[in-house]
Formats: sequence, C-alpha cells, structure tokens
Amino acid sequence: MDGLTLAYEIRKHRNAETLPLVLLTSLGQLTNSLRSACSATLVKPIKPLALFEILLNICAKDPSRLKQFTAASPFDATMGERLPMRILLADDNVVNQKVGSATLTRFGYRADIVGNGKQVLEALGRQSYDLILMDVHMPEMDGLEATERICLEWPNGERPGIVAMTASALPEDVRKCLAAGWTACSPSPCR
Amino acid sequence: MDGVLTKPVSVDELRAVLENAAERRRREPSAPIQSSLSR
Repeated sequence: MDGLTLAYEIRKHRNAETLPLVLLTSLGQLTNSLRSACSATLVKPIKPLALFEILLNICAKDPSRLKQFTAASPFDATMGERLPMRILLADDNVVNQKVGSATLTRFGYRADIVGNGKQVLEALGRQSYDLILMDVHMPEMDGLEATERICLEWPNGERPGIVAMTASALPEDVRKCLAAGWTACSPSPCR
Repeated sequence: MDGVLTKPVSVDELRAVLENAAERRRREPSAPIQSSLSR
C-alpha cells in the first residue's frame, strides 16, 4: 500500500481535524483530491524550515498539539543547568561540528570546538573539561593518538571522560578505540 | 573512557552519554588537572 492509498484509507476513519496528515512526495504535480486528503504536502528532499513551518501551522490550528510535540521531544534544555559540564567537541568536519554543537545546545550545553587531536591537547592545556566527544578520524593527530596521549598525561580518575565518535562500526575500529583507552562501546548503526 | 558512538549519533545515545558523564563528574567532583603538554 503506497502512501497515497494509505492517506485515503485513513481519511475514511479520521478527518483532518483529529489526525492531520502531511504528505511527503517527490511528485511535482498534486491532484486536488490528493491535496484534500492531506493537511499539507512537502516535496522531497524535505527542507527543515518547510517542515517546521508546517508543524507550526498544524499546531496553530490546535494549540494542544504543540504540547504533544513538546512532550515528545527527546531534548532536555535544562540538562546543562541541572548537570553542568565543560564539554569539548573534536571533529574536523565543519558540518559535524555545527550539528554536534547545535545538538548539545538543545541539551543546554555550549561546547568548545576543535578540529583535530593536536588542538584537543592544546585546549586541555588551557582549561579542564569534563567530557570530550572525540572523532576518531581527524587530520594531523587522530582521536586514537590524542586519547593515548591524554591517558599517558592524566591518571585514571583525573582525566576527562572521552567518548569516541566514528562513522565505522567495524569491529577492527572498535578494537582500536578500546586499545587506545576507551573501555566500552555501543555501536548503533540505525538511526 | 565512556564509550564509542557511531555516527550519525542518535539523540538518545548522546543523552545517555551526557547523563553518564554528569554522573561521573558527580562521583569525582574534583576538576581534571590541566595538562602539562602545553607547558
């Protein structure tokens, strides 16, 4: 059953007031009947702003839905206040830096950002951190070497927590992380 | 030494990492010493 058929079937049981439908489509032309079955349409690839505006419009028609969306949010902007920490984000990819920083902001944290392992060590020389989110593959000095040097520099219990971030869930990469000092792993390929 | 996250990092996993790190900080309240690498 494709999404269009599903939309028509849903409309037999629930109207747009009780269950808004947002159609995601790559079609350029939409029929009137299709438009009438859905509260809104989004043309793929979906732009975040367009999705946000549609959700706002739906919520504006029924403000109680806004509370539902808020309650379902996995973010907790009060975490940074409740559980203050100094966080260092190390990633050479600018997009990853921005996404990581924005995500941490939604948890109430403002992370310092560096682009390689060498800069991690320099940052640690300037100030202390509670947590380092460390990309494994970085230029100049990768996350593995940086972790090894941190482990040599600080005794256990005094060094910051280090969490590796890697695009690979290959056992060999995880083994390298563990050998460098990371003591646990939780690769989860599905998002 | 708190673990390995596979990118793209999920919000739930990041949240768990933050909570674990905060718990670790609570258990070990003394701030990490500064590195001598830059000295």
